[in-house]
Amino acid sequence: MKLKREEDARFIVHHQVTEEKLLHLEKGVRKLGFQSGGNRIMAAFLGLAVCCLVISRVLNGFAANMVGAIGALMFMAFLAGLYALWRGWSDAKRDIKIQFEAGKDKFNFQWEYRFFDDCYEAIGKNEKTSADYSNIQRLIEMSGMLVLVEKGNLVRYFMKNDMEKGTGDELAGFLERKSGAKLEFVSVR
Amino acid sequence: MEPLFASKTTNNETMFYHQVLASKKKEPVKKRNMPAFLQDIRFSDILMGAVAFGVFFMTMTGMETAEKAAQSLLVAIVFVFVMKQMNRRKRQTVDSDSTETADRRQAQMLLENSCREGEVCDVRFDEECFQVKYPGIVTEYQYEGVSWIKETSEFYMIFWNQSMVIPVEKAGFYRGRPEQFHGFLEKKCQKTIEKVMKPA
Repeated sequence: MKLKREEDARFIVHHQVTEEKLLHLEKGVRKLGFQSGGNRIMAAFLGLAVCCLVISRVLNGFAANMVGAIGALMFMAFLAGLYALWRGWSDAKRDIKIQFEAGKDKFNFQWEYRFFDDCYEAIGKNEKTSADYSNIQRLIEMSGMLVLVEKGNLVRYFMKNDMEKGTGDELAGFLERKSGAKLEFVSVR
Repeated sequence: MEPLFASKTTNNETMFYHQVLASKKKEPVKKRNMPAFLQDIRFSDILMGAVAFGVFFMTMTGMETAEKAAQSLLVAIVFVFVMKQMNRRKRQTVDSDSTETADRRQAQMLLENSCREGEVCDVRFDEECFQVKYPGIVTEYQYEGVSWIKETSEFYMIFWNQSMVIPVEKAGFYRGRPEQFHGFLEKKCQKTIEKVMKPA
């Protein structure tokens, strides 16, 4: 497979996989998942809990206890949701650390991405890829990180400040035009 | 240049089912020195149980303190029990003790997520490297980068890493003799191919 000439590339990225970048990506993916419904469920539990607890203060006797207990249950469901989020994140953090340490010498942690007018290339240790822009299914910007989700569920990511040629914002616009995918934004702290 | 071996594989549920089977990892069961009923309870579950106790104790009004404490304790115990059951279910899933139905469901999910249903993957093996071609994307891999290889009844699954698998369908060879491929792949990658038995 013959690669194109590097000087013909419109954008070039040198990306080094680090534990911080993996954690940043994981946070963004979790937030995307949470935004697709989890946040509404949590808000509903909290809202119901507050309503029930307020009503229980107005009522007296058995009715007050019943509504209060329902409110407490709703509040517990909200807390359980927060707890599940925290636990999922702490498990993911631990797994990333283990995987990063295990793969540091074995897997490909140095990448060069080149973006041309008609295709893009990904070059890593022991592998090189040439792909059409139609291969990109989703484009996501996660607070300084650009994420390309390709067909086959393959994710390529890099920080905007990993750019060697061109800027991150220019590349994001270029990829939007070439792939037809709309850039999604997720804020990650 | 003509490849030494080449095979075409269609992305369908069967292929992903074999991938699911090949991806299963049998790890030795770690024995923990604690009573069975405590094995699935984490310290943080107990902390959350304590929070549940506090929330209920503060919310209940018009009751004797002992009655409030008893009811709140009951809620906290139920909460910890629910967390224990959830942990147990999660552990059982991780232990890969799943049924064929669950594996097929997972294969279906992988197929849908891949957006490649019905697409043909052309894998060509040369002396120096092998090339994987899907519509609109070509990747060339060096043999030395292969992590491990598994063989199911219908496929060879070349694991590039934990999440990247290259399927080679045995019935899809259009170049080279399939019976020679096993030895060729083992020699080139310097790996022993592990056979995966279909679950009974």
